[in-house]
Amino acid sequence: MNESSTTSILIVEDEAIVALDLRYRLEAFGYSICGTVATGDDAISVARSVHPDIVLMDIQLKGAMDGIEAAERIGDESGIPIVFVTAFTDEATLSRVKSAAPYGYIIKPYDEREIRIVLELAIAKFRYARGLQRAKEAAEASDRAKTCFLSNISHELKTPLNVIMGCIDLAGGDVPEEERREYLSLADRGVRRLQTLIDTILDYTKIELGALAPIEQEFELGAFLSSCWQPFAFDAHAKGLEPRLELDPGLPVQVRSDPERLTTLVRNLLDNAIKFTDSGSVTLSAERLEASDAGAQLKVSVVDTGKGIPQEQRARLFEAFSQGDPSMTRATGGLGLGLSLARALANLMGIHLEYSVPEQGGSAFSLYIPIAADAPPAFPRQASDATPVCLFGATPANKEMERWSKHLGLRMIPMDETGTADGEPIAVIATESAWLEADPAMRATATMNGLRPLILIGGPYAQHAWEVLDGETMCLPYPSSLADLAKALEHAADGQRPVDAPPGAMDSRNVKSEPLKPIRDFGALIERAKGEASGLGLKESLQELLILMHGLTHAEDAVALERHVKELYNGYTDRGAVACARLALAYAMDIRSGHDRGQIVSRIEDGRK
Amino acid sequence: MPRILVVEDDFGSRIMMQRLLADYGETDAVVDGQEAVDAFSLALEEDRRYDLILLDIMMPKMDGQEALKRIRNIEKAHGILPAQESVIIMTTALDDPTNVIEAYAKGGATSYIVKPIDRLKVRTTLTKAGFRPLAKTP
Repeated sequence: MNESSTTSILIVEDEAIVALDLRYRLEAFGYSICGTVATGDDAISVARSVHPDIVLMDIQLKGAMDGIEAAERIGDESGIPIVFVTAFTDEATLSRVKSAAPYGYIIKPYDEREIRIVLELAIAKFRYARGLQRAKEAAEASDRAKTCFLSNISHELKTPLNVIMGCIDLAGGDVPEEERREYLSLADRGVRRLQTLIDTILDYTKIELGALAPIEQEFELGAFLSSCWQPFAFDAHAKGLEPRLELDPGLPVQVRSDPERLTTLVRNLLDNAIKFTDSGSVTLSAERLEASDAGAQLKVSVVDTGKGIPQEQRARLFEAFSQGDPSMTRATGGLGLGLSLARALANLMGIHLEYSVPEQGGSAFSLYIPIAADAPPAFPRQASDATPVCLFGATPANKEMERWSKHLGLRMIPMDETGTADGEPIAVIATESAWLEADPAMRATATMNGLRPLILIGGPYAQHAWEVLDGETMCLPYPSSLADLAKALEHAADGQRPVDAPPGAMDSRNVKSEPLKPIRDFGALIERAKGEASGLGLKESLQELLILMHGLTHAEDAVALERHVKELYNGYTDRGAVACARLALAYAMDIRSGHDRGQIVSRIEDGRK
Repeated sequence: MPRILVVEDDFGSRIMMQRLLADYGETDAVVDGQEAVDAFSLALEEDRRYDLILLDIMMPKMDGQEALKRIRNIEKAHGILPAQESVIIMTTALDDPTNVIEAYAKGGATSYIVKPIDRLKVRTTLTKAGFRPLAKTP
């Protein structure tokens, strides 16, 4: 390829005839002349506007500025290579010329070949120098990124480590039990944060090496989302953000993917969202998309109300080590690995990861996970909405309840502080626990002094699991999974059932459909067991049993059993009572797993012999 | 009772530092450099200056190095002699020479603790700076 054909040259020459001569000769060589000017000022402005590949510069020019000064200014401004063409050969000129760092020096009178050789060498040299310069800049940038990364990584790793070490140290001291628990919970959060970081770094390294293969398996979607969300709810809450979990009731129960990688992926997105949001909310949502060309899909989104990502940074969004603000005061921390890892993990698992800007501002990252088109929904829509349920207050948890109500066969009735709800019969009151726990009077009004079963939904970072506090009050963590909520509602509805209705264990899906016959001789059974066996921990066993009784059944015989056990608890301290409690426990557990009651009775009888 | 200011952006670290220092005096806590400078100025106005400030370096809004310089400048402007200056201990994950030199030479930090921090490190550093645990009230 003849390079000269594409080379454009600016001629700076005050003698019109010389300029014309140069022009003809250069054009004859195949160069293109992009301009001919006579003064230094013109040279600078033309160089600026047309960007020639090279400037042929006379030293003596019209006007106040000479060629050397013009060359220096062009060099400073744009680095365009300069070749001087001049009659001067004196030392004074030469020493000034050096400072302009020209790519060549041609002495007039020149000959054609000389000009061509000097020009070609200058162009080749300039290209080489430019290549070097770029390589140097790239190396420097990479060095800066490395230094920045090292300082980030020590900060990121040491911050949770600091909390872990300090809190364990404090917990080991002479402190009240409650305070010790607080230290351990802080340390625990630190450990989880550290684990996410280490997983991120390791996964990233493995991906770079091409050594990460996803391990696909079936897993439960609700539990997965909860586990992703739980650790961050606290962080979001601590930052004054509203943590939300929005689940589509039509979600499939099970999904097939790599749950571990998916957890890392979703946690990184959540971590990012909380970091870059100063006010508002952070939402993890999951919905099922109707089958389209892409097949049936599950859309998992992390949406925040943060400052969003500036247009110019979006192109580099998924690049490693790039953070909007690399300074020490960057509001956020983090390795700058989150999104690039998220993208790499998504690609690895065949999941589409998309960035979008929600209407209300902020950022939204969505994952599209392929699912089987016929995957059954966790909660098929119920035909009737006969069960009226009261909602107390307006909390995020209640908004979720309303979305779910159709699928759970519920009719939601809003309720105010006076405890009235349009005179409707009320099956369940769901609320955010903090409201009513704090105010016994309000609680009494809302539950009509305990006549209505109460479902308490915990605060955003409550760690407790699904639990039945007493016969009529149930506790759910927020965000509660759909399964938990359904279970609580079923339990509450059971309590409203007429007494002569067929009794059933609360977890009715696992129990055989035929009604169970109450055991009338349970008291006798216990009496017979009294003298036998040995063991310790009477109180524990009985306590355990009582809790199970509350949690598992509302059937008549459960009540009877409970009464007997209470008698034991109060009246006996002998070893036989322990045996009874254990038998009863086994009995209760067997009911739960749906065994035939006749078989259990005979097994207990056998065990007694 | 000595007055202590903990400047730390991480929630867990902040709680922990406050508890670690509870044995040494009355602690306040703020979350970034700007708040640290504000708290310092306020205390100065009310004539109940902080005897000891523990200052994290990497923080949002204003970093610890900048806060350190500003606090020292405020002290100078109020004619507080070096001997009466607040003791400022940098608490940070960064132990690279640039940061350490910046803190000591340019900023006038009294001491430097590299995270992770435990009771032993706190005791060693505070003893050197002349602070002793308060006698426990029975």
